[in-house]
Amino acid sequence: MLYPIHGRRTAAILLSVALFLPLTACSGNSAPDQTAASSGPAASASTSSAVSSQTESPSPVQEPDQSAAGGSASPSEVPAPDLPAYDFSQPAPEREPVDNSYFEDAAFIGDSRTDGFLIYSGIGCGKNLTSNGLSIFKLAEKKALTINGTQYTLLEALALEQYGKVYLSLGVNELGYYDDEGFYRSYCEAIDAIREIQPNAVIYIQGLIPVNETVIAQTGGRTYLTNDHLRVYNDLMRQAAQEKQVVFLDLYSEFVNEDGELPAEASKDGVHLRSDWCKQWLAYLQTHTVDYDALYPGGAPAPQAPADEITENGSASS
Amino acid sequence: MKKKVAAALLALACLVSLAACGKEESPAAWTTADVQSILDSGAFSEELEELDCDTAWMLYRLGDAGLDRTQLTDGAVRRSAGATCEELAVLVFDSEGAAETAKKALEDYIQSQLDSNRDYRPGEVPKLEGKWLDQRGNTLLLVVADDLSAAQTAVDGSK
Repeated sequence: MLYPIHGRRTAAILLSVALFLPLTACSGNSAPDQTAASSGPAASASTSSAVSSQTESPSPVQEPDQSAAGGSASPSEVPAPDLPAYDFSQPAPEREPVDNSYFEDAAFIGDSRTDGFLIYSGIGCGKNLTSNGLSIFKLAEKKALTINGTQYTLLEALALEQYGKVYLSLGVNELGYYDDEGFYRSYCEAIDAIREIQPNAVIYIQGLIPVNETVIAQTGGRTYLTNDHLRVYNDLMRQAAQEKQVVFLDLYSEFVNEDGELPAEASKDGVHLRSDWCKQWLAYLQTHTVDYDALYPGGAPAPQAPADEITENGSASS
Repeated sequence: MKKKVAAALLALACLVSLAACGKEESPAAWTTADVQSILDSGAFSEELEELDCDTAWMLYRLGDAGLDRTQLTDGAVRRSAGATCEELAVLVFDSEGAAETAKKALEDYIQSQLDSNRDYRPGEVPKLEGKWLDQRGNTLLLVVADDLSAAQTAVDGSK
């Protein structure tokens, strides 16, 4: 089984904190506020693991929040590591890039765009669980992969091995459905299913990269592929990520130009990315990683029912 | 003595001539230079992206077919970034047997391309069905093109 690379480091720091706290209590130097701030096993684990996994990152998530710990500690006091929990309402913040070995225990679930990414980005590893034309609506039922003569859905194929990361990117083929509520529910269900299959994996929801509508029209592409609808789906995916407490990657902002589209030169058909842009996609993934321990210091959240209502602008409300 | 020399010369001449015939019957192996000839032929409806041998190795699942990466010694691969199913590959292996194994892997690859594009991009299916997959010695050629006859004409003259 494969686990996040920082797991051992986190465990070591947790052990250090556990050993250190009794020592400070014996010496009479423990600060009540700090003890309160880390009361309960979840909180204690949260602060410790967040320090261990995020200190190298410049993002707000990784910045120590001294005020939350009750102000600055005196030099004689032991400063309690107290970082805010990961903010699932925001896209993953940028941090120091990882190299491609990070993706050796990653599975990529997606459509033809993701297939192209795995071929042209130069990533060189990662399990390709993609199917041309696949939609989130068919993820659990379409027998899209044949392995050693047996047909599998992508979720069934995902269950054949254990992964440290699962990247999910579906949504473009769904633009013609105009079923926003169904899209949102299907995404929530997909996240639950992936979490059940891969309880130790960081689940990344990859926001949709924009399309270029002019190129699509020029090359005879499907007219329902519009950025207006794509943006609605991106909002829903982001809300699903927040609801289900998984990481959202804002690839839309990475690729959109000043006209609100994918640059025309990025794609031959307005949808599938050329190799240079696949490399840009990879660079984004390398600089937007989050450690499992930082996400779920108290363990992964239990599956929840998705929000019941979708508002008029396509946003979900619970 | 003269008769013996004449007989030996005759035998040698026959051998040389047979060997030459044999060479003529066996077409020249595919080379990476053929890739450029086919690209220049106008066989493809779009500009294809270049792939390296490591990526081709993964794409065609040659490891799953039982080959070792070192057996793929050279190659040139061009492929659509996703707009079409067009692609072109010349793969050079260290043995004829390895090329034979790889040919089966490429047949499976084309079949999977057919399976995944039949509903998604039905317009590409005729190109896949009409693919040109040819083994010559330790080399393989794969062409999935918009105008296959143009590709064939481009290399027929040189073979």
